[in-house]
Amino acid sequence: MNGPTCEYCGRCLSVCPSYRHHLVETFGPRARIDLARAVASGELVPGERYHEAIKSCMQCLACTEICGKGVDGAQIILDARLAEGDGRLTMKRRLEKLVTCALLPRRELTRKVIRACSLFQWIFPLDRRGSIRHLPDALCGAAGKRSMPALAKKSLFDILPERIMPPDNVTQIGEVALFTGCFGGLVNVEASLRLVNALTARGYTVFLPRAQSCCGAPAQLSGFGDAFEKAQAHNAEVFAACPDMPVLTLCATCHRTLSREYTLAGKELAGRIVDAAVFLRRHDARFGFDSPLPPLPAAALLRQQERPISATDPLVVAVHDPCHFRLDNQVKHAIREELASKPWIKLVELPDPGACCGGGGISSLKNPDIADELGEARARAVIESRADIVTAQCPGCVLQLNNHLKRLKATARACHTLELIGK
Amino acid sequence: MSLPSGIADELKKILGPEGFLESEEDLRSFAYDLFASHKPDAVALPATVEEVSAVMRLCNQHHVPVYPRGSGTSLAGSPVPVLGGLVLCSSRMNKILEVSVTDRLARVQAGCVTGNLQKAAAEKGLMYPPNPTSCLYSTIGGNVSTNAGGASGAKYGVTRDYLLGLTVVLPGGEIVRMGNRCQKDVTGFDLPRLLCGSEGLLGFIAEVTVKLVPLPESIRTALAYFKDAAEAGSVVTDIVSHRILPCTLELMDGVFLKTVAEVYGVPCPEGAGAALLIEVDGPDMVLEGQMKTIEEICNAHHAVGMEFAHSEEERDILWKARRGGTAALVRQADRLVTLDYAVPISLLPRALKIMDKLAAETHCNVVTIAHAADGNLHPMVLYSPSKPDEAAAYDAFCDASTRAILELGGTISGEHGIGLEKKAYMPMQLGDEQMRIMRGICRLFDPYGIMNPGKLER
Repeated sequence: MNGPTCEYCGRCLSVCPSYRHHLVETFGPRARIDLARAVASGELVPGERYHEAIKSCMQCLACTEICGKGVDGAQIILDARLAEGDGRLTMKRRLEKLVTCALLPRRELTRKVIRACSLFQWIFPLDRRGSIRHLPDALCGAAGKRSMPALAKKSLFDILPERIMPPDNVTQIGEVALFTGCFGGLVNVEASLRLVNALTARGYTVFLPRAQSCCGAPAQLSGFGDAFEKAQAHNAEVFAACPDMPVLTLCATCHRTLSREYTLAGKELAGRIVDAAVFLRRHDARFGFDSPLPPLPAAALLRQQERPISATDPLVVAVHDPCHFRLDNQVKHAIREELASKPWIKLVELPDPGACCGGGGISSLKNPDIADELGEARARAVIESRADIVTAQCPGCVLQLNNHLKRLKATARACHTLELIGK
Repeated sequence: MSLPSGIADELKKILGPEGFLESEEDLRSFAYDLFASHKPDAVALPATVEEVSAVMRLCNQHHVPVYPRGSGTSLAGSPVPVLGGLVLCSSRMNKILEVSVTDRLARVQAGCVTGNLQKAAAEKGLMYPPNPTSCLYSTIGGNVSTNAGGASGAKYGVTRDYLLGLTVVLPGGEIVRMGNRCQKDVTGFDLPRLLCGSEGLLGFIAEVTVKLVPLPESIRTALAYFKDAAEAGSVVTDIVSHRILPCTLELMDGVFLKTVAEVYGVPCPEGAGAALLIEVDGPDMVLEGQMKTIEEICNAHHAVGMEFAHSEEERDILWKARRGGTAALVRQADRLVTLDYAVPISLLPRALKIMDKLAAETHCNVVTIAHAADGNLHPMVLYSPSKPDEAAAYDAFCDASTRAILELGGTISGEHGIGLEKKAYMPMQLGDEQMRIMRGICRLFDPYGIMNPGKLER
């Protein structure tokens, strides 16, 4: 394995959610890195405990961010999972493979299966918190939380054509392509629509390739390298049709995967990936953009406490930073600048900035207990901040935060950042 | 090797399946600290003092070595199970039991991370001052065992200065509560302070009661550059002679500054061969005058540049050099070993010169920083253990510098502890009589020598 060697200083223990949960060194980054390297070099024959340790990583990148020596702990674990691959297919692993490798890459099929599950979930007994118990974990986890996400009535691809032009009164200034990801296409369609509106209002033609598929992150995070390579090659081919356009993402996990993990067939595509908020920020900084005080659909997000929002009584918004942007600091700043430029928004910071909510990637599938604990802690932080809305540039985080805010009967709600800055 | 099966079964019964680990993966994971590595035969993760007591009694009966461990962040090999046996790790005993404003104390379990204790105290307007660099991940139990210090030592002292009481489990399984909640107490020998710094040789520390102080009203920060480390060292002695006690006085040498400039692009004034990061804390009205005096002293020593922080953000920028520097250095070497000497404050400039001279003589790549106000210097040796000439140079530098420090009347460890790293040199500093007394104390606590064996020579 390449890269700098670990010094065993233990600093990563201070930020690892998995270590905080287990309080056992074996489930901390220092040990996982050591074990992965020992297995890769043939020094250690992996046993059941090794697989547990490798699975216990939340892929939140906190250890990578804090390491003074520059050891990329998250990547080492990802590589270890890929090396595991099809090695030991237990029942659960088979199901995981079915979902991440066969189902998610097929958008229409995914839609139908989730819809079917949503219809039938009521016949399964519910646990106290309202999430399903007896649906296979893997299926529910892949959907981002342990009950079925509410699907949009229509997928984005049913609503929009493949090419969306700016309105007649706006001068065209460029073209961009949009990578929706599973969530942006099927679940959080509102955020995608807002983004398209924001882009066209600024003079961009938006290209929405219908053949695009899942970015492959669920397969890769589960250790199924073949399916990931397939997704990479497929998306590379689809987006080769628009070689000059920047490709915008609206999900932190998609962004991380496309920009950092597409190193083979997708290398060219990786170079064109831009987070949507960063793109809008760059545009606004260069050309300026007057956002009129909207007729306040933002209030609708509050549901339980609808109130008129104005510059004197602004919407209090807290920003949750998705883990998968940890290594791309400009996203964090762009989102805050974009939100702060709206006169009807008052920004507040959450306690424990940078903490993981447990909703990213396939965390809730691999480690549901830790994900639950993190989700609840993050929801409590939102309540403590007294924000009306918590916003995240990642549909997975939004789903997780909303789930836990509802469980705690909080009045605050989570929404995708683009639902606010797209206005 | 593994524990005799009867003992393993007994331990499993005491600790439950989650508290007793013996898979190869777990043994590997509890083998190391920053300095050394050796696999134990089993790992115990007790959840209560009673479990610790039962484990210790059993191990004592069967003469199984016991190695107490917190987060395993020692820089000297102190928790490494060099003879196998059982690692007894406090990580699951991490609760904050009490923070009392009126009694000005906190009671925590040994596995509580020191940073969490500091945070809990700060929430009530109090401060737990000992501040080792590792405080966000090292445990209070480990801090007590090594008498941890840190950057704020000159003004606020070290862990020992805040210790009111300990709950200790002796090798025979006896649970002994030493000290109490009183701010004053002269009844009998001061056993909690004897245990502090004993590096796990006398018993397992299970619970700690520490004294807290009020949070200071404000803090002022300055960064001053000088032509070389010796000049910066004399600024330190001058500041202290003016009866000013900074809470931070961090000295960084020229190589350190150069590395920071290269890696982080933090500009460094022309001709700067060393820097001092200076902080004073206390009532606002006092700090103004203190900062002025410090500025005058720096100018008298021909400071080549000075910067002051006026906000928390500016303070972070000034700290960036100190914090980022070690990280930047670590990236440049296969291995970085931080040595840990302390000398009387008046001798700090001389000690720094000697380090420079010895590094040149032994052809060793040495970068020095110091918690200067308490005379604690950290020469950091960068080398590649796989290259024989570099490894030999490292050994030569360690040996020569240790002897030189002892000649100056200094100590071979200011705050990291002895562990395996300096075991061979300890008798040189302490002499036969003190070593004999220490061995005697060990026998008194631990007749069968099961506690952390292989560390103190015996």
